[in-house]
Amino acid sequence: MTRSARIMVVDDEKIVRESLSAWLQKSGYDAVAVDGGQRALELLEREEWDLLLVDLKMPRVDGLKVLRRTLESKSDIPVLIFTAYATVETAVEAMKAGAYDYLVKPIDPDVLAMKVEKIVERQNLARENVVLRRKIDSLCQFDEIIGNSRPMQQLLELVGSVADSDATVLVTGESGTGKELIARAIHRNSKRRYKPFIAVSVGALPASLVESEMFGYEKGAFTGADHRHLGKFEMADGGTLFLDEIAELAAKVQVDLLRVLEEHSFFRLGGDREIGTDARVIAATNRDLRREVEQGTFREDLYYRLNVIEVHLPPLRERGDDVILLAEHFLKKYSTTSGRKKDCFTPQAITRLRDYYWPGNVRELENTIERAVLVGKGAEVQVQDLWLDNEHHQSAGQALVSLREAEKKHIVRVLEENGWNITRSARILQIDRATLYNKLKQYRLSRPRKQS
Amino acid sequence: MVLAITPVDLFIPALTFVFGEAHLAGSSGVISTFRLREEYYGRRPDRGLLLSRVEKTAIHEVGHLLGLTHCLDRNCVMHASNSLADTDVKSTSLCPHCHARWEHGGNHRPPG
Repeated sequence: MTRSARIMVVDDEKIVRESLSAWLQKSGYDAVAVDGGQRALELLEREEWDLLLVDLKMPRVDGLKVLRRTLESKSDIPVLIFTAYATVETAVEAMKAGAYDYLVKPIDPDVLAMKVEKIVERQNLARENVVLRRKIDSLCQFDEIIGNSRPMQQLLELVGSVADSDATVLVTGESGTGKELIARAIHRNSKRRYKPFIAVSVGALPASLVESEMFGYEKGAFTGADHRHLGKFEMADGGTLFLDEIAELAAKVQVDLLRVLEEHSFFRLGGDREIGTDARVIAATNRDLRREVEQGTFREDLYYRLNVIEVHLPPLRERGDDVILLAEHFLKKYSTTSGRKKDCFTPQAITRLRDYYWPGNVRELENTIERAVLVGKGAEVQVQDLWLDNEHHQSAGQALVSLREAEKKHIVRVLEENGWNITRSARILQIDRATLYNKLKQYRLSRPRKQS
Repeated sequence: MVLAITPVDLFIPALTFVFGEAHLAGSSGVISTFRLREEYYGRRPDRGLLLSRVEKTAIHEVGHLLGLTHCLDRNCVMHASNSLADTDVKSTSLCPHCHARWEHGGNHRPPG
């Protein structure tokens, strides 16, 4: 339970300040009777207060002076002025000077109780808000994202620079690479961070449901719509709406989404009132959306609307030693939660983790480590605890991949064999250096940073 | 512990009226029947209603003498009565929470 509100009751008349403070104490407030303006100013500086109840007419330092000094201290403490000699002039003056309210003695107990209650409630909310904001701020930056590899550092730099704009972002990457994590990081580093982050996996819902989930519906819009339902666009107002598996979006909903992105407004299902929305959209897909456009399954205009900024998450196998950093992170996490003491991996296990192809990316790595912690014996994780099959060995005969993927992998292999010497690699590949540079750009390849 | 009962109207300075007055954990209190009568509000006398209001007000002030502060539960006898409606809504007994506070010697509890 929070501490009780501290209220200063200031009046030069003893009987008034004492009976009022005693009356407030019976409601559980920490009310203190103070005998005049001068003493009130001293206590204001020395101690913390939530509310001041001040008589207007007092000798030397009067209520208005206390009010002005309170406001000057920028402490946000509300001041309730009360007086026995009500005139329009004093009331106007007090309100103009910034009093929270102005009450005439004798005061109706019901009125005073409600005013005090309302102020204290507001103070508590404001305080709670400060605590929550601090909590959100402490979660900011990229604490949850682990990675020292060059592609990840470049990615985080990009995320940092686009976070504060309102531009739509398209997060691409294989499944399990952490697209939602990146979307959350963008949200938490934007000025929208105190507003909601709403995630919808559009691929997981049938077309008819996607519409009602995104835009909401009015009572009676369809059978079973027995009350008004707010859509995710409304819930995310002022915040961020994350649309996962965007490539699965039905053609009809693609049109609706395009309309919202262009006009920043929409209709609830069965509604005739246009509703404005200020939700920033971040979409994600593990598919090649450009190809979906070429094949006619995804609208080109929507593609360009979504793809204002593209953030591509590299697959784990291209993240160099990040796999080890992540493995150690998950080892720590699961040995803590499971209570099984595991400190490290054997050298063979490290090699295996590094060589494995990781088709399921970070998610697969996390599952692998969780299982290894549970099934393994001893303090070290052995290679056999990993249960990784040979089929997905990086250098073994891989699963069937696209020509693009094969070309990319071949280029990486040649570059690595030649210490990333472009001239030598280009000669082996029998292409000129400019073409090789173009390919590197096209596949977002760059020399991994040396690990010390 | 003494609780006085009077037919005259009561107030504390700065407030228009009180139904009763007793200091927290004090030894004496007073309640008034003045504003508990239906006649005060221009309605026909109702003896049963008056008695029930007197009972609630008396128990409430005794609660203060026992060290109990106001309760947020509108049905609890320790809920603040700043209008007659408050008095009519509440019951004559302590809510479980206040009952426990009373058994532990009463203590100040911040509202909200």
